[in-house]
Amino acid sequence: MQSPRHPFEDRLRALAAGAEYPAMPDLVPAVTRRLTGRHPPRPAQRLAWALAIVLAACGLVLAGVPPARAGFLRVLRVGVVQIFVEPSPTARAATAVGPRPTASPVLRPPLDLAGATSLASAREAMGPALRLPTYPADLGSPDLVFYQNVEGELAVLVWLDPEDRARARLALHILGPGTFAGKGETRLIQQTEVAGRSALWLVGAHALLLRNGDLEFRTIVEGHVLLWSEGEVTYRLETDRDLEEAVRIAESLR
Amino acid sequence: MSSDRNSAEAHLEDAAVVARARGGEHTAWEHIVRRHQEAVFRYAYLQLGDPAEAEDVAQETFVRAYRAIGRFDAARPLRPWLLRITRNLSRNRFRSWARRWRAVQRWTDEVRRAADVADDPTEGSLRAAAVSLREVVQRMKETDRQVIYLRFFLDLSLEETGEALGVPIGTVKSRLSRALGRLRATVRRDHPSLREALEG
Repeated sequence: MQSPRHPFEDRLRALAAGAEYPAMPDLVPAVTRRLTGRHPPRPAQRLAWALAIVLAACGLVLAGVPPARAGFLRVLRVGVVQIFVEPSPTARAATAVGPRPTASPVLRPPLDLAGATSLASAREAMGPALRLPTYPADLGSPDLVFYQNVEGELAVLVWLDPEDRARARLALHILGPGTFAGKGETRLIQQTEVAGRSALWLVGAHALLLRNGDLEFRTIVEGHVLLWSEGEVTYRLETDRDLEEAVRIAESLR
Repeated sequence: MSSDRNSAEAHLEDAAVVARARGGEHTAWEHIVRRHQEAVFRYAYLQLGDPAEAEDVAQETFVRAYRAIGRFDAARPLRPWLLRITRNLSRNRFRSWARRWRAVQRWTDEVRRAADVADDPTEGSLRAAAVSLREVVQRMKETDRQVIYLRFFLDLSLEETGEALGVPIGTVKSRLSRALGRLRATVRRDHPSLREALEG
């Protein structure tokens, strides 16, 4: 017996039916081979991928957080954040300071992130790792606070633009061990320091995936990002300010 | 995808084939794979966003299901049981950073393609809306995402959705209600073109 439907649900179903999928592989031969004990040879694609993993790992061991080299997959790590860089021959990532962006990026507040809570609750749950910037002086408390703890602690603090509440002025992610954050390639990656600790400065839109157990959040980040870690905690500051200002904000955390 | 009658017929047919597979007949299982591989592959793809990973998970689903067929309750429909295995396997695919990277990369490419579609006036607006819908659902929390995938993307009945999620039908209804409320709010707030497609 079908339950009564509403127009919104009918349209949603019709739209979802139009979702595109990759070509459907025929699973029968592979499943049959496995069930009868005749395992298929390892696909060439998977072998190539395994090789890419080895190359990337070697690069990390040999060079720490080096400039990207054309043709090699690189994974830059800051705490629990992994930045995946696969440079083209005209390497998109560099450690040198590139041209400044001509326009300020637009920061979008992550309104659909799970775990919305109050600052007091997040602070109680996370303890001293949850620190707030004391610069700029007029910043005040965050307007949005998200806290999750599934396989690791994750807090996201967002300060909205007082003149346009659809935009964010600043966002601070505090990631404990057990969470995962992955980023796609970005336009510029620059090594820098926050209070004497190694840090990375990312400029340019990039994909961000946050995963905490079953909770997952994916978004395209438009703002500039400063990444650094202190002990087991990773801080990720997203801002439309320049590097100098971002470092000043980062160093004001109390 | 199927009416209640077709679902009932499919259930009876699956039960007969499952009985043969329990007797050790591999060819019977081929029939099951052919019948359900599209739903299993699509469900894996919706969660992983990567065709190669989805194919691996789909393949593994049928292998594990075959080996566990003795524990399957033949009075229940087979497809939700298969999809439950698919969901559990998909969850475990993010263990290595290599897989995570592929997921991010694949998703980045997809977003770029979606942007191209949205920018291309020759493409149908419904196609762009479908891409946009999937992106919005991907960003919802796990319980919302799963119930929407099963009920709307895979067109499962309420009963089948409950079987796949391992929850009673009342829970499916309440989860759907909450998920749709949040989806509607997000679409109204942030996605005017998608709102047009969903609300007219």
